[in-house]
Parts: sequence; C-alpha cells; structure tokens
Amino acid sequence: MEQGIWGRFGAFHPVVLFVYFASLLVLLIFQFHPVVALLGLSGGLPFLFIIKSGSKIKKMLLFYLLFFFVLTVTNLFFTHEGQTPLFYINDKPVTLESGIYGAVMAALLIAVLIWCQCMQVILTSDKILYLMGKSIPRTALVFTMSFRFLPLFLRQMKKIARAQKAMGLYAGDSVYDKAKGGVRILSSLIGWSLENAMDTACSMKARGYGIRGRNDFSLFRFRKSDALMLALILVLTGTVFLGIVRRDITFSCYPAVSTVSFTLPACTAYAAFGILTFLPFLTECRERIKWKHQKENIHDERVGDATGIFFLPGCKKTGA
Amino acid sequence: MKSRTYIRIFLYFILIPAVILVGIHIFQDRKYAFVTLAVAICSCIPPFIGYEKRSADTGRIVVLAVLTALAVIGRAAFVFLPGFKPVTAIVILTGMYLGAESGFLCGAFSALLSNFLFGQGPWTPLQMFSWGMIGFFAGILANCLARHKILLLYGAFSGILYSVLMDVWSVLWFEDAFSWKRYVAMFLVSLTSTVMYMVSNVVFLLLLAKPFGEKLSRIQKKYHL
Repeated sequence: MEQGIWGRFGAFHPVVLFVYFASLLVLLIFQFHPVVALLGLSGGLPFLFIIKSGSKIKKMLLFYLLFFFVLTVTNLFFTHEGQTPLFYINDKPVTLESGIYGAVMAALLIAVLIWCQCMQVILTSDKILYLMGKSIPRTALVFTMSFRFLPLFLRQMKKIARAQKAMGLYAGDSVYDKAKGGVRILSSLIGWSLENAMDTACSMKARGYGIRGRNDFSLFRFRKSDALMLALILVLTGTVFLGIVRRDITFSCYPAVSTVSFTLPACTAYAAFGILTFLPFLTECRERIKWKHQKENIHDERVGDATGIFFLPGCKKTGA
Repeated sequence: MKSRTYIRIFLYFILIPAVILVGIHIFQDRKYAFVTLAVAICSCIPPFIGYEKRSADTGRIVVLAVLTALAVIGRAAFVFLPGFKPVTAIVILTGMYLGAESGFLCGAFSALLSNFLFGQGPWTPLQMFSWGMIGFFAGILANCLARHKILLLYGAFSGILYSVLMDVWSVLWFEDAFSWKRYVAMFLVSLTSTVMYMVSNVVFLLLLAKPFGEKLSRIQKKYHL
C-alpha cells in the first residue's frame, strides 16, 4: 500500500476517481460481452500488480483461476439451453453454449472483483468521506466516527479481557463458558464505549458542532489535470455507452453463440473501453518513469558537487 | 420545507423509476441484475436523506456511531466461526432503541465498514440494503419487539431473510433470469450458514438484549437523550 500522497493515479481528485470506478464497474457488471471481459481483466491485473505487494497476488491469481473453472463447469450442468450438444447426462444435453456463457460470465465476475480490489486501495476511506461529507454531512459523521472507533474499541476490548483475567474470571474450555466470557467482555465494552461516546458528544457540543456558518477543511484541490482526466473519462465512457445503446456491441449465447462484431463502430467502442481500463496503469507507469528520470538528475548533481554536502536554501543564514 | 417535499416526490416517483427504465433499455441482456442493484442502491438514499433532515442532537449521532462500530467489531471478532455473528442482533437492537432510520444506517454502515476488512464487491450494496432493512423494520416494529419472544422470532426470521435475499441476488446476477434450479442449489449449499445465521441471531439477542437495553436506558436517563 504505497499509495497516499505519493500515489500517482490515487493523487487525482476524489470526484475524478469516483466517476472513474463507478463508470468502469457499471460497464463491467452490466455489459455482457467477451471483449469487455478481456479488456477489463487485462487492464485491471497489471494495475493491481503495481499497487499491491507481490506475495499475495500469486495466491489470489490461483484462487481466481479455480473460481473461473468452478463457475464454468457448474454452468455446464445447470443450463441446458443451446444448439450444440457436447454430450448427454441423464438424457439432458450439455451444450457448448452454456460453457461459453459460464466462461464469459466468470471472466466478467473476476474482472469486477479485481477492480473492486483496486478501488479499495485507491479510493481510501478519507476520500469516500470527502465525497459523502459534501452532500450528507451528518451521515458522513456517523461513518467516520465508527471508523475511528474500530481500533479504539479493539484496544479497549483487550484491556477488559486482561483485567477480567486478573480478577480471576477465566474462560473455561467449554463453549458455553467461552461464549459467556465473550458476552461479559462485550457487555462491559458497551457500557464503557457509551460513556466515552457521551464525553465525545459533550466535547463536540462545547466546541460548537452543528452551529451555522462553520466551514470544513480538506486537502483535496480540483486542479487542471483533474478536469482533463475527468473530461477524458466522461468522453470514453460516453463512447462505450453510445456503442451499447446503438447495439453496435451485442453478444448473446442462447440459442447460438453470436459472432463478435468487428465493424468500425464496434471497434471504436472496444478501443474506448480499452483506453478506459488501461488509464490507471498508464498513468502509474508514466509517473514512475518521470520519477526515475528525476532521481537520476539528482544523482548527477550530487556527483558534480565538490563537497558532496547539500545545503538547503537559508540553512547557513540561520546557522542550523 | 415545501421544496424539500417536492424534491422527495421527484426522487421517489420520477428519478428512481427513470434510472431503472433507462438502465433496462440500455442493458437489455442484463436487466434483472441492473434492476436489483439499482433498487438496492436507490432504496438506501431515502433513509440517508431522512436521517439528514432529522434534527438529531450530537449525542444520538455519537451513540449511533458507537453501535455501528460494535457491530463491525462483532463481525471481526467471530471471524473464525463463519455465519455465527452478532451483527444482525446489534442492528436489530439499534433499530429498536434509536428508531427506524438509525437502524437502517447502523445496518448499512456495518456492511460497508466491515467490507473494508472482508473485501468490497458487487455484493456490498445488497448487504447494505439487507442489513439496513432489517434494522429499519426493527425500528418500525419496536413496540411489538419489546416482547421477548417476538424479538427472538424476528431475529430468526431476519436470518432467513438475509440469506434468501443474498441467494436471489447471486442467481439473478449470474443468469440474468430467475432459475429455480439454480436457486434451490444455492439454497441447499447455503443451508448450513442460513441455520447458523438464525441460531446466532437468536443466541446473541438472548445474551445481549438485557445488558444492551439497560445500558442504553441508563445513558438516556443520565444525559437526557
């Protein structure tokens, strides 16, 4: 998770990120098409590779492969529509069409899951809160406070458990005893957290929460690059939608698998969707190359410097 | 006040049906999946706006945040026992004591927040909707639920409801038509967890209802909520 302020795609304004993920996920969830599935997977996987650590990825890929296999096979045995029987089980045909339907559907589902993981890394809770806080501030406050309470309560729960142990209230080996001990801790936690919450509420009231005319602070600025990115995303999404509405890209499996059209309008829609899915990966690559280049420049300067010591501007004057 | 009512009417009777109709037209092959997801997301909007409009004081907001956090911690604490979670019980109790809209918020946010730990996905809006509705109806039925037996019955029922809603969603999502065969298969596969949900809801309601009620009413008395 090396995102944060150094994050490259993640550095765009939350509104831009939200529009991006929303339009991408809507297309992936609701447009049943093999090309869409393929582009969604091929754009999402390299991006996920960059933003997540490598060790987990291998396990995840294995899981997804298994998932793909299971979904495809189960669809073969559940759906008997289609014209091309491969073989028969109990006088019921197992068809090629249902296999292809299952495979495309599974690929789409995996693409959605991969993009959801990317979204979780990029669209962090502070950004979600920023998006919500504008329109529904009170609801957003509940959301953010519960988020903060999670680690606080976990720590308190451990404290309570230790204290109860010290008082001699051990949980025995039986399930009943354990459950009773758990509930005793939970009950004590409820009492403590409610009291604590009331203190917080009083403090908030004393500082003037809910008074008219207060404004809020946020680090997010809508820059020119954000506007450009947002425009690009909207144009690309619009192009794909146009292709869907005009039925340039359609695909169906039953009764027979339709051919994937490669007419000019269809290709335009594919291209637009392809650019959309590769946008984060390309942005990330561009920024990394830029950073590497700049780092080399820094290195050159240091070699050229006779003393080899850097002075920040103004350091000598203040004598620091 | 009046313009707000108009906005509400616009939202309920024009905007939401329009979104659904346009979606069905655009995504013809996936219309069932679209309708389920659109309905789930759209039905989250009115309770959020309703909560926003209520002039609830700071204390109630913070108490709601506490209960939501407790529900999430409950889901995380019992992670080793799949299906055996106190979330639904806490959501029901929140709805009972703090009102329907707070119950909805507690349910919806428990799903959203805990999925930051367990993984977000297309199921998140559905979970938010299901748990939110369980909390919402607990708030509406608060008077009936004051009787202990009915409360436990409601807990068991909401376990079934949650499971059925999630299964129907999975079927519609994969096939884009409702197939009984696949639904029955899903139902049988998830039967153990459905029973788990029911049992855990009843058990946690049995264990938590009393301390919960006592503590909340103590706080209410002490701080004049």
